[in-house]
Amino acid sequence: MLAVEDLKIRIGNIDLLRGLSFTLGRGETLALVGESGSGKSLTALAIMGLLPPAMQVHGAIRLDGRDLLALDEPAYCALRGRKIAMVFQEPMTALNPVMNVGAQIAEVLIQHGLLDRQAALAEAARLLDRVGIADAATRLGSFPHELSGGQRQRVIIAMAIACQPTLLIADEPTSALDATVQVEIIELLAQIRAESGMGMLFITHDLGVVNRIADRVLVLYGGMAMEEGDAQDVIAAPRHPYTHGLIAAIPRGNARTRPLNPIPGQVPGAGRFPPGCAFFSRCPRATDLCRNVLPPLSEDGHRAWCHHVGRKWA
Amino acid sequence: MIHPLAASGLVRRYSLPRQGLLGRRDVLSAVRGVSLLLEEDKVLGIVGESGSGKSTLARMLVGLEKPDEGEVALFGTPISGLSEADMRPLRRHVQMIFQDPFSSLDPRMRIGESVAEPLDIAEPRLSAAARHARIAAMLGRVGFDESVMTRFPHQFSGGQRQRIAIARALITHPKLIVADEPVSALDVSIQAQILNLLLDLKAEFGLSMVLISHDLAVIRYMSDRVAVMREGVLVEENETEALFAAPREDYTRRLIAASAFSNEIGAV
Repeated sequence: MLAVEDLKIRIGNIDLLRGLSFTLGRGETLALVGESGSGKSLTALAIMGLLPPAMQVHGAIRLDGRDLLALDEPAYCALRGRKIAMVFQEPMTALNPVMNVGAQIAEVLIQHGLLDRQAALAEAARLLDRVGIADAATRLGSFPHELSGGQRQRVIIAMAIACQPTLLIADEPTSALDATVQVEIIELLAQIRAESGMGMLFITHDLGVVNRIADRVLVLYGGMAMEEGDAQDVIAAPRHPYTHGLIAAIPRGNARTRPLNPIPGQVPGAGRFPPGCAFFSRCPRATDLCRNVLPPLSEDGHRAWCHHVGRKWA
Repeated sequence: MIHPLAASGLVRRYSLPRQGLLGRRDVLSAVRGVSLLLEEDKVLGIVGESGSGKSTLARMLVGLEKPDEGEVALFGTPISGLSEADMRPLRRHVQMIFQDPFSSLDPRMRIGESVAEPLDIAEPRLSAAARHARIAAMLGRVGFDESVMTRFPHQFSGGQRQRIAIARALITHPKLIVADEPVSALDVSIQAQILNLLLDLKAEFGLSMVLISHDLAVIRYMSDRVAVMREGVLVEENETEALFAAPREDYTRRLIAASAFSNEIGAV
């Protein structure tokens, strides 16, 4: 359904995304995992056609065979919200503060010419009920500030699924929420994905969330793919030193009994990555080869881009 | 035994804006009767979700905010009646680390001056050479060389800034640190670095620490004791591993289940 092929994003002469390829099938959830600067949110914006004009984009993004990068703005507008919808991290800023939530959900359906106003409002009530907002018919008249963070995110999800899109992009949808609410939203997204059959691109920095929601995972670092495969496999047996380091950096227990081994150093600024592997400067196994030569793809159960994947990470 | 920090019956109320011109003012009780005791050389973790009152509590513990009721004692001295002058000698032994390393450093102040500021207040008669040596040594301890002293905060990443904020907090050799969400704004791989740095410095400087976080995994990693805060009160408190092994409150169990998210990822 979605195929991203050799996607490159540059600003001036700085590479932000250095050739990313992946596919996403109907009914599938792919998690894009990475830290700040990894390019995960840029990828989402590129698919939505929302990159700033100063950025140059190369490659192809195909949705059901159609190359999105070739679309003009009116064609993109017809697609956004209709075929591709997005859920953002911060529900308060994604909602219009002076419009009640019923009108905001209905607006999507009216804009895309799917329903008239009255039918759209009825559908909005059904959607609110579907995303787990109690007393949905009354809640149509609520304003965003009257809702809790979790409820606002439910409203955003209702708006996103209103037109039954084929692709839902969720960019850190639970990162701003309390842990207990996070669990509920993850479960809601998983249910909706299952019953609608849409594909979901789930962007997060949190491997714990990946484990709960994703079928497959693609780990990014410095604008490059590090590792890709079945989510459970990758987390249970990472093959790339970066993925290994990320997992080892998650606290599990007390420092006295289970001390953490952090990844040393820090992410280099944009444009300061070596020509070879982006993870070179922080990798425990890095050699000159890694600095200078792009790592080849190694496929063994799942895919990893590393010169040294064969070695054990003790 | 003198505790670095003891709080009893802390209450903090905020009055909300009037509902209309002649309307009533509603009162929000952010903290509703919190008592706690921090033992020397220990880390007390306070975990709570948004709106639980944990940041208000943190500010009261270091004297940045006055409680409406209750008393905070630092190293055995109750602080409520103290004048600003009497408070000053205590204050150098108590420092706070905040969540956002972007707003806790003055953007127009060079790193060296930011780090030196608390030192200049605590030890104004320090010679220039001794002052420089102290700053350089402290920056060295958090992983920087002297050359960063002349640079500005915007030249550093979030994790680096948090290390600078930690150097600033520790330059006066305090005995008590209150850290409010010190790693929440940082990437996972940087979080672990900062947590380990805090533990190393705690051992080296003989610090006692109150750590406040919404992240139960972070709290468990760092703390000797854990207190769970909800809607302004501590609902459960225990030794860390005892709390995780046998939570008594339903709310604690739910928090643990929610953070089991990351626990499901097996040991690598």
